[in-house]
This record gives sequence, C-alpha cells and structure tokens, in this order.
Amino acid sequence: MFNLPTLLILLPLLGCLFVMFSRRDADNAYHISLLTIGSGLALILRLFMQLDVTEKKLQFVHNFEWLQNANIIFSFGVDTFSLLLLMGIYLSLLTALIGLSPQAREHKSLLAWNMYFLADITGFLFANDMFSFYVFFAAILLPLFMLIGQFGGLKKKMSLYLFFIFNFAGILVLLCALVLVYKYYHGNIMLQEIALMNMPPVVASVVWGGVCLSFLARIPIWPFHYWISTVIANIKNPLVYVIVTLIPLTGLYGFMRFWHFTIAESIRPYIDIIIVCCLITMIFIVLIGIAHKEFLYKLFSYITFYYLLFLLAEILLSSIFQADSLQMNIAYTIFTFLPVTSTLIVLDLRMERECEDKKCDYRGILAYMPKRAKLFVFFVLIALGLPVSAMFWNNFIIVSALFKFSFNIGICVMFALSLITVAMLYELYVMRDLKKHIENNDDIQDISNIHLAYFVTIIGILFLSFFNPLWFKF
Amino acid sequence: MLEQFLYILPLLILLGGVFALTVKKFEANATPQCFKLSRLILIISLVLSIIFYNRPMVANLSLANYSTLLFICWLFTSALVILHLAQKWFNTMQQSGASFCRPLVMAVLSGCLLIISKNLFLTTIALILLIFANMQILWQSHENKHSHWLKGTPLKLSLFFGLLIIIIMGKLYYTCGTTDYNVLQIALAQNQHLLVFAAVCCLLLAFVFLLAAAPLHYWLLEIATKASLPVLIYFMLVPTTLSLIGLTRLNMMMLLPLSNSLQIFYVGIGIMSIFVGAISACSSSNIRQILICSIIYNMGVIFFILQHFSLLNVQTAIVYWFICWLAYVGIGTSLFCFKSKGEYLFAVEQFANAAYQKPYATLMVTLFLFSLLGVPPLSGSLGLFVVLNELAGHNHFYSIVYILSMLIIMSYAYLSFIQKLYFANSRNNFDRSGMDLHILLFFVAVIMVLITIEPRYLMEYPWIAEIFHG
Repeated sequence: MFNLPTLLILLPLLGCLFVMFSRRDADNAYHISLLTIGSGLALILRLFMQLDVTEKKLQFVHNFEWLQNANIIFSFGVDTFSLLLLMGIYLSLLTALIGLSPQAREHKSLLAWNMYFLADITGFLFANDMFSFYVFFAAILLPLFMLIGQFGGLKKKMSLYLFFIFNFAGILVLLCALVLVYKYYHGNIMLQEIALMNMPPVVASVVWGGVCLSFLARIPIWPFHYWISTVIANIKNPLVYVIVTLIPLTGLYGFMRFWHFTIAESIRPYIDIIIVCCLITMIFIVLIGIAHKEFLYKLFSYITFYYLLFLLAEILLSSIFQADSLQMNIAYTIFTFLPVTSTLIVLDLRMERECEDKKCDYRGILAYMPKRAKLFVFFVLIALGLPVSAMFWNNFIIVSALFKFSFNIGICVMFALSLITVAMLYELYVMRDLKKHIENNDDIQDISNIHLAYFVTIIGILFLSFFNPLWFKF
Repeated sequence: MLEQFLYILPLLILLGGVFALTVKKFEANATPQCFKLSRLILIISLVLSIIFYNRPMVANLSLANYSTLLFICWLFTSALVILHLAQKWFNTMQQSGASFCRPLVMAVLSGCLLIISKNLFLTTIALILLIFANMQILWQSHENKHSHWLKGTPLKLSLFFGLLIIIIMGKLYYTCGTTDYNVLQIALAQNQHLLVFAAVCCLLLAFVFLLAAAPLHYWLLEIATKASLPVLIYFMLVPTTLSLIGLTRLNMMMLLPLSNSLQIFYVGIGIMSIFVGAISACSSSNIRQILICSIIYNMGVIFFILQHFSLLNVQTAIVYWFICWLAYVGIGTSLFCFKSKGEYLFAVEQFANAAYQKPYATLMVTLFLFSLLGVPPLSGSLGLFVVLNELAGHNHFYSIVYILSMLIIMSYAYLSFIQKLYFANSRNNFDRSGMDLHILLFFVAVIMVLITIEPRYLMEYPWIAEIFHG
C-alpha cells in the first residue's frame, strides 16, 4: 500500500501522535522524536540505495486518487535533489534536538509541532503535482505559527500576526494560481507536464507570476524580508531557530522546481527587478548583520545571504548550466550548509545560556570551553569556505559562474560574501578575546562527550562529502 | 390511509413532542427529564424518517429521497448535539430546560417540513414555525432574566418577516393560482411582472434574514452579545442550515426563470456580508461575536456561489456550509470546556493561556479556526478550494480576489483569539470539563479528518442529483 516516500511522510505524523499521547514525565516525547528522526534517516539512506541518481525524473512515484470527478490525484516521488535536501533537513533537526535544554525537552507541544512540520516539509519536497505542492507548502504555516508563537519569545504580538498574514497571503496567491491552472487544465497537473500547458499569455503571466510571488514571500527578499527578521531576533530555542531558518528553503525549493518549466518565460519582464531586489537585500542584510552585536544575527545574515545566492544562481545560471546540474550543485551545497548552520546555532545558543546561568560576559566565552571552542571555530571556518566539505567546491562553481555571467553581479556577490566573512570572523575574535578573562569562571561547563561525539560525526559526514557528496550511496 | 399515516408518523411524533413538552410541567431542578424526553422524541422520529425515507407523506406537497434523508440526518444530528450541550449549561445554571427543549423540537419539526417541501405553502408553514421557534428560544432567555433586550430588534424583525412571508405566499397564490414549486416556476417564466418580482425579492429577504446575511445581520450580532451559550449555538447551527436548504430548493425549483434578474441581488448580499463579517470580526473582543461574524462572512461566500442557479453551485454551497458547520460544532463544543468559577467565558481576554490547563480543547478550537481559514490540510481548505474553483469556472476572478482579501482580514480576528489561548502573559483558572465534551470533540475531529482524506463521499456521491426530484 505504501512505498518508501509515502512512508517517510507518514513516519513523522506517527511520531507526532506518539509524542502527543506520551507521558508528561521524563523525556518520553523527546526520545520518541529522536527515534522518529533516526528511523527517518535510516529510511532516507535506504531510499538512496535504491535510487538511480542518473535518472532525471522523479522515482518511486506513488499516486493517491483524492477526487475522481475533479481529477485530483496526489502524487509523490523522489529524486536525488529532493532526497539530499531532506537528508540535510533531518540532520539539522537532529542537531537542534540534541541541542535542546533539559527543560525544553519536556515541552510536548514543541516536539509534536516539530514532528508535524517534518511531515509537511517531507510531503512538500516529495510533491509531484501542483495540488500536493500547494497543500504541503501551505500546511507548513500551521506548525510554524504555533512554534514561533509559543517558543519564539516574541515581545510584540503584531510581529506574529504579520508573520502569519504575510505567509497566509502568499498561500492564497498560490491557491489562486492553482485554481487558474485547474480551470485551464481541467484537473490537477503533474510538475513535469506544466511546460505542456496551453494557457493564454496573460493568464500564464498571472499564474506563474503568482506562483513566483508566493515562493518569494517565503524568502527574505525585499519587500518580504521584514517578517523573518522580526521573528528570528528573539528566538532562543535551537529547534525553533533551525525550523525558522528552514522557511526560506521551502520558498527556494518551490522556485527551483517551477523555474525551468514556465516561470522564467512567463515573467521575463520582471526578472531584472527580482535580481536587483535580490542583490540589494543581500548587501543590506549583510550590513545589518555587521551592525548587530549578536553572533546569531550575523549567522542569520549569513544564512539569508546564501539563500539569496542560490536564488540568484537559479535565476541567472539556468542558461549556463543544465537545469539538473545546477540543481544538484545547489543541493550538494545545501546538504552541507544545513548541518553546519544548525550546529553553529546550537553551539552559540548553548554558550549564551551558559553565560546567562553563570552571569559571565559573552566576550571571551570560548576561552573557558576548549573543546567547544575548537568545534565552534572549525564550523565557522567550514561555513566561510574552508575546503573540507562539498560546500567549498559547489560555492566556488556557483560564484565563478556568476562572475562569468555578469562581472558586476559577481562583484556585488563577492562584496557581500567578504563582508559577512569579516563579520563572522570578527565575532569569533570577540568570543575568544581574553581581555576580560576572569580566572574563577572555570566552572563554566564545556561540551559533553556525547555531544562532542555527535558533532565530530557531523564533521566526518561533511569531510566525506568533500570527496564525494553522495558517499553514503553504495 | 394507514400507509400515509405511517409516512407522516415522524412529523406527528415531533408535533406530539412539542405538545408534551408544552403541557407537562417540569420542575425547576428537573433538567434531565425534559432533555431525556426530547432526546427520545428526536431519536424515534429520526429512526422512522430513516425507515420511510423514500415515502413522501403527500405526493403533491413533499419530496422523499436519498438527499432529503441526508438533510434530515444532518438536522437531527445538529439538534441532538445542541440538546447534549444545552443540558450541560442548564445543569450548571440549575434551570429547567423545558423552555429550551420545546422550541428546539419545534425547530426540528419545521426543518423536516422545509427539507421535504416542494410547495410554497408547506415552505411558508415551515418558515413560520421556524421563526416561532426562534422567537420562543429568544423569549426563553428573556424568561430567565438574561436580557430585557430581547424585546427589541430580533423579536420585532422575526415578527415582521413572519408576516411578510405569509403576505408574499398569498400574493403569489393570488397571481399564479397555485403554490406548487414546479407550477410556480412556469408561471414566473410567463409572468415577470414587477410586483411579482418584488414579492420574490421580499421572500428572498426573509431567507437573508434567517441566514443572518448582511444587511439583515444585526439581530444575530445582538444575540451574540447577550444570549446564553446554548442559544448562541442553536442560532449558529439550526436556522442557518435549514434556511440554506430551503433557499437552494427555492432557487432550483421555483426561481430558475428569474435567475438572471436575481444574480445582482445575490452578489450584492454576498459583497455586503463578506465585508461586514470580516470587518466586524476584527473589531470584536468577544468570541461569540467573532463566531457570528464568521458565519456572516461565510454566508456572503455562499451567496456568491448561489448567484448561478445550477446543481453544481448548490452542491458547492452545501458542501462549503457543511464543512463550516462542522467547524462551528467543534468550536461551540470547545467553548463549553472553558468555564471559570461556574461561569462560561466569552470575552477573548478571559481565555488567557488556556492552553496550559486545557491543552486538548485549545488545540481543537485552534484547528477548527484554522480550518475556517482554509489552511491545508484541514478540511476547510477543501471547502475554500471548491468555492474558488466554482467561481473561477464562471470567470468571477474579482470575486475570488475579494473573498480572499477579506479572508486575510478575517484571519486577524481568529489570530487574536488563538494568540490569547496560547501566548498571553496573564493566566486564568478554568474548571474541569467533562469527558463527554472531549469525546464529542474527538468525533468532530475524526469526521473532519475523514472528509480531508476521503472527500469523494461528500463531493462525488450522487446525492446532489436527487435534491430536486421525487
């Protein structure tokens, strides 16, 4: 009845139910979450073993007839691109779970909504038709709203409303586009059939412009940047922070899935505007990152910069690369980018918590934690381009291709990249600064051995990806 | 003769029930007895309706088919749910529920007549009965000294529209010489006199009043401000559903020749209701008002759909309302879970951080509210999709934009309530709520999940084709 991709969608839902009905005491819900993510990773590896990575079409396709008369069929399938992204998401959520404080592990609603989010995003990545694409794209909003509202530490309720309304509006725009597609196609449409659709040019512009707009609403590009920066500023929970940083990925993924088929042709007159918005946002977000004192905000700038870079690459480099090879390039980068950023989030939030508990200064904090310091420095350097992971190669290819496409755009990107590199390196310097070193602060806890082992494993995974991004496929 | 008597038996039992509830004197603290009796009457009547579902009581006046059975089941389910919830309220308040049960059974009787009717005379009787039941329920609140306001707008309007319906029926009978829908349809096609058209519009206005669509929505807003919880839930679920069924039948069986002329009427009502519903909801600080505004908004959407007199549109409208109705049942039941110091809560402020003490009820109410917003994968998204699809099919793109823009505004009202439930700074203490409410909520949630997973039973079963045929 179920094939592996469907099972991967259902597994977190099952985990969500178990978490909801688990006992309140102890860490039952937490252990169920860990088990679910672990089983999910095992299933992903199993899928990779069976997957033909040279095949461009979606594989393991499973259709579920929803409405016969209306011709709506939910269709799911996987390819290397979606599976790599999912694996990256699983790794980053696992990292965030491990980084949860003992108090946070007892919040059943946090863990349940996390499981629900995972099910939705899996369905979104595996969607093979426009209807399921819409359903899972929109379904992500509910867990996001609840997680941010409950654990986001928002001081102004208006920020939460704005977050919801921005995203809700994006969803409704996508719904309108879907309804129009339905009208002209007389039924649900598979992604690979989109290019074959025959629509009047004006309608096509409206439909694909709407689709493009709804995806852009999830990426913090001007003028949609406001909600995410206000939301992310107060989050102190690693799991919620990681989930929020995954929101732009949903927009980017949607954009990349649709771009080749139709969007590029239908909204050609507006492409320059998107590129300009993208570059301006990129530079401004990096400058804001520099101005902020917190490392987490700098990290947010860094993450946003990369999402915008991928978006720019998708828009500009489709003519240089083949669509699939560009997608794979980006997927390899994101696969390493997600665990790296989530590790940094977890490590930094843990340090902030230590500082608050021990009432010590954040400046020079790394000096008291030798093991954590080494890990932290190493991960920051990986993020900035140390040649030990797949990120190095693929970023190199993307940036050089951007230079090849347009020297001016390449300069802008390099400028922003240099700024964010300087900002993060400076922060590293601040965290290791011994000017305010106090001898009696030795009771600050360093990283536990279990966590150390986990992060070393992550480093191992990243290191192997340097030689072969798909090293785990035997 | 005996056969006819058997077919009419469900209605006679309801009538007898009304009589029994009127005659029998219930003591003030004997709440369970009248509720038991009412429940018994409803269940017997429902069973008999199911047994004789395809037997019309009088062939010239009524329909009896699979669709009438479905609607009757829908009506009885509403009534039984309301009875169960009302019993809790009357128990808590230590009041006799007889004055509530009697009009409720009467409303069910009127609903049965409305559902099976294919004659304007029968429809008129049903509507008068429904209005009378509504008035009695309002009056019951008055007797309980909950409100002197009930002497005001709602009762006066009810009386006015009751009289108006009788006059219109008389006028149409005088003009066309019959009250049979099919014959009236032919007569209306041949005689499109201005006075007849005005009479039809007045008849529709009576339905607009019962559906609480703008501009005749004030009475329900007024009830929302002051009435008790059972009264509110009754008005949310029963008169609206019955009037919608009656209106769709009227449209398809009688008003078809006037469809082009009436389109602007429906669109106008739709535009006003959506606007009033969305804007009023945002300015409400009371969950009852928010819910009523939500109903007004949804009625506007339904009027947008009903502007085209086709089977598909009727199906869309009914499916959409059924999904909303389910959400309202869920929210209404959830509201019974939120009680503090013996008082049922209404002001949004009072629900501060309810999630800590009532996680289950809070989660459910949140899901039902998100369902009303049409957020996938909740069942409301199916309703929203079929509505937009239907409008797009008729090229009403501006209507789609309007409905969705107002939905975004509407979302603010729901969010403010959800925000209070989960993320408020203050905290209220809540009383324990019964397991029965949780079970009811669970059932509603299961039905919604089933609709989401397998909507074909709702969307593709051929019940729609039977709505207008004997």
